[in-house]
This record gives sequence, structure tokens and C-alpha cells, in this order.
Amino acid sequence: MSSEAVISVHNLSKHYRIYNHPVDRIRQMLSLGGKKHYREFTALDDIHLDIRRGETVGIVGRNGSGKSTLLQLVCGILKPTAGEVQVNGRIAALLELGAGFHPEFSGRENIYMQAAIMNISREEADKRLPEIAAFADIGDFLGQPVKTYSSGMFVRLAFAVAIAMSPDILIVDEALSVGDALFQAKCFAKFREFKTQGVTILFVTHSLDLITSHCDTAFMLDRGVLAGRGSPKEVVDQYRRHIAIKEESRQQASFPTPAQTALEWPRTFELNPAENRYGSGEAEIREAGLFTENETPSQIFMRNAPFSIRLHIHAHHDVASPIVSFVIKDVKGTVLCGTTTLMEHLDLGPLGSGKRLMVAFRQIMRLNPGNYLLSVGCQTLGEEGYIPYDVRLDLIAFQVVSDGERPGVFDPESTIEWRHLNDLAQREKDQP
Amino acid sequence: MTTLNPLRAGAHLYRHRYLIGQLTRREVLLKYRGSYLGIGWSFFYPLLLLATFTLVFGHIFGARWHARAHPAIPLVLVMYCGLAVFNLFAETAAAAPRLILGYQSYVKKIIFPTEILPLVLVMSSTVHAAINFLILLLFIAVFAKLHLTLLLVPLILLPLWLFVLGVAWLLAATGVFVRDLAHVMPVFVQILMFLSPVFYPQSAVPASLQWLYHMNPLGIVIEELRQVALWGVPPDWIKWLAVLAVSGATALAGYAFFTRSQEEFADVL
Repeated sequence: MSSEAVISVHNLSKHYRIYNHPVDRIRQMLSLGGKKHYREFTALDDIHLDIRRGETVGIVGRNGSGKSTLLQLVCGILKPTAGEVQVNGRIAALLELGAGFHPEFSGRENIYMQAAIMNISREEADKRLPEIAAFADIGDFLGQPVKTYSSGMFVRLAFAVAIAMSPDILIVDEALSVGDALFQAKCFAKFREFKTQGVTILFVTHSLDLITSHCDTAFMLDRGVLAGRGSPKEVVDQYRRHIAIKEESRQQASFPTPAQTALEWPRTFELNPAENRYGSGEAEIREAGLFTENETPSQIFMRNAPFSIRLHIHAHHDVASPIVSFVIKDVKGTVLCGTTTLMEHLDLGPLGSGKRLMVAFRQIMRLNPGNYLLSVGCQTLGEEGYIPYDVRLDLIAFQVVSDGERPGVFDPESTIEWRHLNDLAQREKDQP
Repeated sequence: MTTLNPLRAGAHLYRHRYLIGQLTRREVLLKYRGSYLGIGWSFFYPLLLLATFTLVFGHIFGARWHARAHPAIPLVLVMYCGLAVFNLFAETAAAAPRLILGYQSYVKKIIFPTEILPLVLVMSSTVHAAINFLILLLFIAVFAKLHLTLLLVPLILLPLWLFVLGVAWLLAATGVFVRDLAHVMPVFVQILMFLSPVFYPQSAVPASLQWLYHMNPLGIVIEELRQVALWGVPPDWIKWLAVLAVSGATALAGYAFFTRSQEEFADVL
């Protein structure tokens, strides 16, 4: 019975009443119909979902799109304004890190309390304790008050407990992002095991790679509306288009001009407001952006897909042979790759005052899934080294997603050759 | 109207008995965690209070109890009966309005039956009250006479307990919506203490005000307790039944109100 729906959501809406002043709430209670003393805020609007047993489902969406509200409604923590939620099975939910843990009590005491909340008796909890301790792997800290825990230890314990409660449905809201990579891998191994046992997993994350590499189905929420559903890849693609194009330009009927020929794309990218910009300003990097293979501006890329980085430079003075460069760093600031026109032995020639220059770097995205920062620069080579015209460090953040795990920084794109050697050895032995 | 069915409500709460027990244990432990005397404070507090009463009322005021028929009973014991009953109510009523606020993450972030929280509060107050009553028993044994009617004490206290539970549900739910309640309740509890026959017998109240005292379940329970525990007189069963009915109704109404409004908690907090 793998097709039975364990979670079904119909016509689900959630509105909040926002009161400007606490007194307004009382006024509203006292007023018999008539005047409204509140503003209505729609967190979710007419959502339909069916989630089958054993499915792993990811939900994506911007902040404030209603993801967490949806999870809370599924858990029965919030009451729907309209519509209904039907859940068949026991839910273990990790909606907030350490919710329900008491800081003064030890990890072990908290485990028993969480078990009690899940209606699991002391004897049963005793049996599961070794399993929890092994999964959390926090050693002697289990006997310490949880207020002494680091957030990493917290998430380990919280996860270990939730997993050990043998739920039918596991609901996780972002909590995993706190754990380190090894622990994440451990969790996903556990998720796969769960899947074979028919446990349904529903999770929200900003890390799109988790969606493409672990989910069967994905949903996208946008301002309270279910804007997309389907295979993880489709939904992530859709989400990618969705967030690459910022609010303002999306409200225009379509993307301004064919990107291929566009020289300017104001407000298309989410630029880092804290970029580090310096230089003489003789030439200015007016526009910079990242584009997919088919010239769509994007801040999310598929690993091993071609992409381009494009810059538009305006010269405010006559500049002799500008050098244009880009560098990609990870979020820790380690430089991972990059190049310059000089290193590629290109001479872009002199650029007269008022003239404009377009440079496009085309390459394949080799980086493994994660978050990265693009820096770009326009400089020249003086007698004592580089002289910056305009350098914009950490200008645009982007994300890489994939459909398969690889360790480390990049995918070596190995081709693998193999054969069993036993037969060969046997044959050699047989031959005289 | 399923919530108004006392059997169903009882069964529902019974299902969560293990969790209620665990939470109560935690609340009791938490109260004294980190203090040197620990649970010992539950004993010392009433003892100190008793000593103070003896000094103030026995020696400074030299107050005389109107129940002249029982001169053998020390005044402090009479007052202590009143206080033991009232403390159970006071402790609960003062804490209930903030109760749900204190468990915010339980309401908003985990799947949790919030309706048991007021019960947990009353249970942990009951643990402290039980210690108070134990001390009372000890003092009765030492300074007065142990009557057979003492065995009726738990029965006398049953309506009190139900009443306090009902009040806890009502105040806890209301406190979520009306935060002012947390500030009003301590004052109200003080006022009610003086309006209840804690430091004086109900018979000392002027006839014109007696009606007020017949409406106060706390006062009735205090008087009944004195009858049974100190005087050795069986209770007025009609009165007892009446109080039980009122308390039972309060508990049910409180539970119904709480379960009705708890759906809104997560929206308001």
C-alpha cells in the first residue's frame, strides 16, 4: 500500500489577524460584526497536497512564503482558517532547534521527557537510549545540562531523539542546516533507511541540493500559494528562475530584453549590499551577472552545466588595456577559482572615455553543491603592479545544486572502468 | 459538546498520565534545583510560617478563637488549616496566567497536548500542599488530638482540588489573551485571602456579610477541614455535596473553555 496518502491537505488557508494595538483585539471582541479593527494577513491560500506513504518531500520557497506555517498546520500546532489537514500516523517534528528541551536538565533527562511527550513509556525509552546516544554521538555531554551544549550538539541530540521515536512521518524545518556535513550525511543515510521502512519525510530547506539529491517530490511555495510541484529537478529549476529574477523585474510582464543582447540588467540580481568595492573609478563595472547556458540570469546553477559570467564596463576616462577578472570564493572566503583576461593572454585594447565594453567568461560549473560568492574586477597593469579601476568583491552570491553526492570542492567528473579479476586470474592459472 | 463530557475529559487526561507525571516531577525538581536544601524548603517554609504565627498571633496579638468549645486546640493549628488550603489555591492562581506563556515553545513548536499544563501546575502545587498537610498532621498529633474523622480529610479536599483545577484552566487560557491577568491575580489572591476565613473563623463574620462567605468554596472547605481535622466533628454532607457540585462544574467549565480556546494560542503567542 505504498500509494496511500498519509498527509492530505485540502483547500487549506491560514489568515492571521494583525492588530496594531493590543486594545484593538479587545475592541474586535466587543464589536458585534461591523468594523474591522485588524488587518488580515494571508500566510497560506488554498493549498492542496497529497503525500503518499514512504515519500520524501521537499518544500522550497523564499522567507515568508508560508513554508513553516504549512508544516505547523500539518503538525496540528496551528488551526487552519479554512480547509482541512488529514494525517495518518505518528508525527515526529523538528520545527525549531531544541524546542521542548529544558536547558537546566541533562541530555538524558530531556530524552526521557521528549519520549514522554511522544507517549513513549520509560521502559521503552530505556531500550532506545543506547540507540539515541550512539546516533547523537556527543559522549559524556549526555549527562550535562543541555544549556552547556553547542548548537551542533543540540541538533545531534534533537535529531537522534526524533529518529528514535519510530515516527510514521518525520517533519524537519531547516534544523539540519546547523549540523556539520558528516552528521548531515548520517541523517540522510538514516532517511534512506526510513524510506525503505515506509516512513514519510517532509522537509523544508534553503539548500536546494538536499532537495534534488534526496527528495522524490518537491513543492514550491510563493507568498502563501503553491506555485509549483513535481519532480525535485523541475521544482528546483522553477525556483531558480523564480529567485534569480528579483521582485521588481518580475512584476514587469516579462524579462526585460533578450539577455543575449542586453547591455544592462538593472535590479535583476540580488547583489550583496555589503560588497567590498574599491578602485580609481576611471572605468566602472556597471553591470555584472551570471547566466545559464540559455542566457537566463540565475543565481542557482546545476553542477557540470555550462554557465557564463558577464560584465559591462563603462570608461569614464581613457584607459589603456583594461584587465578584466573574476574570482569565485566559498562562504569561508577561500578562493576556489577564477581567471583574468591577462592570464588568458588577451589584450582588450584601449578604451576611450565614454566607451563601453562587454566581457563574457564562459565555462562549466565544476563546483560541488554549496553557496559561493562571485567577485569581479577591472584593473590595469602599472609599473608597480595592478592598479584597480573598479574591483567589486563578493558582489553576487550564488548556489550550486546537483543530483548526486560528491565529496570535496569540485566534481572530478571521473569516468570509471572496472572488471572482476577473479576469472582472469583463474584463466591464467589454467593455461599451462 | 464532547469537551463537556466529564468521562471523556477524564479519559483523555488519563491517557497522558505518564507525561503529566514526568512534567510534574520536573516542575517540582526545578523549583529547588540548585538550592542547598532542595525539597527541604517545602518543609521549612511552613515550619517558619507556623513559628511566626505562634509569635504574632499567640503572643503579640493574643488573639482568641471564638470556638470556645475547643480550648485545647492551639490557635496556630486552626490558622494553619486555613493557610494550607488557601496556599494550594494561591500558588496555582498566581502562576496560572503566565503558565502558557512560559511554555511558549511547547505551544508553537512541538506537538504537545497543552491542556495538561494547568493540570501539571495543580499537581506540582499539590505536592507542596501534601507536605503542608503532612506537617499539619504531625502538629495535630503533637499538640492536639488525632480524631478518627481525620481519615475524611482527603474527601474534604477533593472539591478544593477540583475547584483549583478549574480555576487553573480558566486563568491559564485567559492569561494568553489578556496579559494583564498576570498582574491582577497576585493582588486578587491577597484580597481573597483576607476575605476567606483563614486567620479568623467564619462565625466571626457579621451576619450581614455571611452570604458572601457561603459563596466562597475556599472558605467552606477551610471550615470543613477544621471540623474534621481539629474538632473531630463529621462534615456537613449536604454542604460538601454542594461544594463538590460547584467545584466539579468549575473544573468542567475550565476544561471546556481551555480546549475551546487552545486552538488560538499559537496565533496569539
